[in-house]
Amino acid sequence: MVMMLETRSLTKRFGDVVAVDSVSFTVNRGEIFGLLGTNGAGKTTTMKVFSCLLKPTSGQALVDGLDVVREPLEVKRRIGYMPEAPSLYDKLTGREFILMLGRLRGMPADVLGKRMDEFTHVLDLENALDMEIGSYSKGMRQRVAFASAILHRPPVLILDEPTTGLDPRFAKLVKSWIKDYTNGGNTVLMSTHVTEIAESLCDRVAIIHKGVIAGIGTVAELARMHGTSNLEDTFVKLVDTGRGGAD
Amino acid sequence: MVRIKLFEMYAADVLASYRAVRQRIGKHPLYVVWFIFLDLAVFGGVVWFVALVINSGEAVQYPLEVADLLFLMFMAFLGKSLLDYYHLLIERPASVFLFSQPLSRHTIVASKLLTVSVYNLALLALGLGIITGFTFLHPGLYFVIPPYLVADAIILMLLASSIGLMYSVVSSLGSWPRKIAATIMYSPMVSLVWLFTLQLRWEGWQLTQALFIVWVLSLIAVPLSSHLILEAWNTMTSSRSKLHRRLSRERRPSWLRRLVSKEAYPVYEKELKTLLRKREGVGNAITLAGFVIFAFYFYSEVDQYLELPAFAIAALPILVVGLSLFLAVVLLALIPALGAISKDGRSTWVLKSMPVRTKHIIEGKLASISVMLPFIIVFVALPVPMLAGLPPISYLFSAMGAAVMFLLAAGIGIWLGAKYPNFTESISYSPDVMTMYIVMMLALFVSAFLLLPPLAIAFADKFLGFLILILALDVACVIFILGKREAEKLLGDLEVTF
Repeated sequence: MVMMLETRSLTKRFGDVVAVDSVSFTVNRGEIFGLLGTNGAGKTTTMKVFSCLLKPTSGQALVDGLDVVREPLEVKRRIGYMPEAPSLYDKLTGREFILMLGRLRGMPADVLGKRMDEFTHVLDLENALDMEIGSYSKGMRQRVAFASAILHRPPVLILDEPTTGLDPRFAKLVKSWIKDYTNGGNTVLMSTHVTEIAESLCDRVAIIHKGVIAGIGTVAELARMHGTSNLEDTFVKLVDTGRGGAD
Repeated sequence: MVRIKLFEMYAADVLASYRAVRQRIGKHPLYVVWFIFLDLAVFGGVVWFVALVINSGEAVQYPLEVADLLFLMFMAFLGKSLLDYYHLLIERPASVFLFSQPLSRHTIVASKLLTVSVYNLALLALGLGIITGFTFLHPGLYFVIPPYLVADAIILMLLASSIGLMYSVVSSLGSWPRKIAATIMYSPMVSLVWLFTLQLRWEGWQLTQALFIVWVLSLIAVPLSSHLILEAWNTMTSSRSKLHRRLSRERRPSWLRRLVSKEAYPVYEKELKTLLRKREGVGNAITLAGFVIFAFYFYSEVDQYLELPAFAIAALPILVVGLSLFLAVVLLALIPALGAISKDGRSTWVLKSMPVRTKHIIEGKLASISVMLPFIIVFVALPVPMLAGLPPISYLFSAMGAAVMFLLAAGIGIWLGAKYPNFTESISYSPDVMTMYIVMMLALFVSAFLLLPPLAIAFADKFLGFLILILALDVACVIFILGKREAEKLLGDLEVTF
C-alpha cells in the first residue's frame, strides 16, 4: 500500500479554539476516504491544511510524502481542491476562469483546450461558459469549481462537500466520476455530513467530532466495532456519546 | 406595533455599527488615536482659518459665503447618505431577511431613513461640538454661529438623508430610461435647495422655513422608495448574464512579455478584466476630473481674494500640479495596491491553492496596477503644468515626479495591504478607511521627502535638479521592490480561514 495522504498528530488552533486536535490518519493510493462529521467538526480545516490554505499549529500533514509546510508548491501540483460552496471570480466568465487556472498550472494550451471541452461537455456547462460567473446559479458554480479541480488530473483530489448545491442528476454524475477516477489509481479525500453518500462512495471513513477522530475504518468495520447496522447509527452513536475530546 | 418594528431594525443597525467600530478600534488602537489627532488638527486648522477670515474685517472679499458652505455641506452629506443606503439596504444580500418578514416595505425603508438621518445628525453634532471646544480652548477664535444657521444645518442633514434615500433607490433600478425618468421626477427637491441657498441667497429664519418645507416635501421619498425598493435590491444583488467574447488562446503581446512573466500573466489578465468589468476606472476618472477642475478654479480664484506673499503666489501652480498628481496616484495606484490582496475576498482560496509562487501573484497584481501610470502621465502629469502656465521643462519634472509617486504608492500600498488585509464582506473587501488614511499620509510624506529636494535645487540649477530627481526615482524603485518582496512573504503566510 502506498500512502498518498497522511496526518501525524495534526493540530490546528484559531486563538483559543482547537479546530483539529492531534489527528492522525492515512489515506492509501486509489482510495476514496471520507471525513464524516457535524458542522464545525474540523473536516474543512483538515482539508484546508492538505491544500496549503492553512498551516498546522503542530503536527504534520503529508501529500505523497511531501510536507505541506516545507514543500507547498510541490504539494499543490499534486492536488486538485474544491471548497464547499466555492466563491469564484464573479467578473470572469466560466471559460476565462478555467483557462486561468490551467495556465497557472502551466498546462500546455492544446491539452488545456481539450480537457476544458471534455469537462464542460460532461458537466453541461457549454452554454454558460462565456457568461460572467456572477450570473451563475449555485449548482453551476459548483460544477465550474469541480471542472477546475480535475482539470489537470491530479493524483489527489480533495473535495469539500462535493455534491452540495448540485441537482440529483449532477450529484449522481459526480459520484460516478469519483468512483471511476480512483479506479485509475488516483486518491480522493472528501468530506460530507450525509451518511448515505459516505456509505455508498467511500472505501474508508473517519468520523470526526469536535476536532478529534472518533472512529475510523470501513463502514462495515465501524458498524461491527460499535454494534450498529449502518453508518448513520454508528455516526449518531459516536457523536452522541461525545467520543470527541476537544472541549 | 409598526413603530416597535421600526426601532427594532434601527437598533440592529446601531448595534452592528457599534460592533464594527469596536472591532476596528480593537484591531488598530494606535491608529485610532492617530486618526483622531489628525482629524482634530485638520478640523482645528479649518476652524482657525474660518475664524481668521471672519474676524479680519471687510477689507477682503471671500470666494465663499455662508450659503455656499451650506450647499456644499448638503451635497457632501447627500453623497454620504447615498453610499450609506447602498451598504445598509440596497447592495446587501442579507436584506432578504428583512424583505421576507411580515413587514411593510414602508417600515423597512423608514427604519433605514431613521438610521442614516441619525448618523448624519450625529456627525453634525460632533462637528459643532468640536468647533465649540476649539472656541473654548483658544479665546482668539471668536465667532458666533447664529441659531438659525444651526437649524439650517440640521434641516439640510435631514434633507440629505431623505433625498439620498430616493436617489440610492432610483439609481439602482433595472433600466436606464427608468433610472433617468425617476431621477428627473425627484430632482425638484435638490433644485429647491439650490434655489433657496445659491440663487435667491435667502438668509436667517426665512431660509430655515423654506428648507423645512422642502424637507417635509422630500419625505415623499419613503412611500416612493418603498414602491421601488424590491426592484432596486434585486437589480443590485443579482448579476445579469453578460456575454464576453470567447478567447481560447492566450494573447500576450510581445512588448508585455518583457514586463510580465509567463507565470504572472494569468493573474495580470484576471485583474485587468475584473477592473474593466467592474468599471472602477470610470468612477476614478470622474473623481480625478472633478478634482483637477476644482484645483484650477482654486488656483485662478484664490489669489484674487487672499493677499498672499509673492513666493506663495509663485508656488501655487507647483502645489496644484503636485496635489493633482498625488490624487491621481492615490486613486489609481495606492488604493488599488492597498486592496490588491484582500479584494479577492472569499475567492482568495483560488490563487492560494495554485502551484504558483507568491512572487508571481504579486507581480501580476502590480503589473495590472502599473497599466495606469501612462494614463496618469498623459492625462495629468503633462496637461496640468501646461495649463498652469509653467515652463516646458516642468513637464519633464512633472512626468518623472508622477513616476516617483506612483512607485512609492504602489510599493507602500502592496506591502501594507498584505500586512493589514481587510476581508470585511459588507464593504466589499475594500481597504479599511483608517488604514487607507494612514497609508495615504505616509505616501504623501515620503513623496514630499523625495521630491522637494530636487525641486528646490532645480530652481537654482535645472540640470542638477534633474539628476537629483533621477536619484529620487531610483530610491522609489528600491522602495517599490522592497514593498513587493514584503508583500510576497506576507501573502505566503496568509491563511485562508474563511
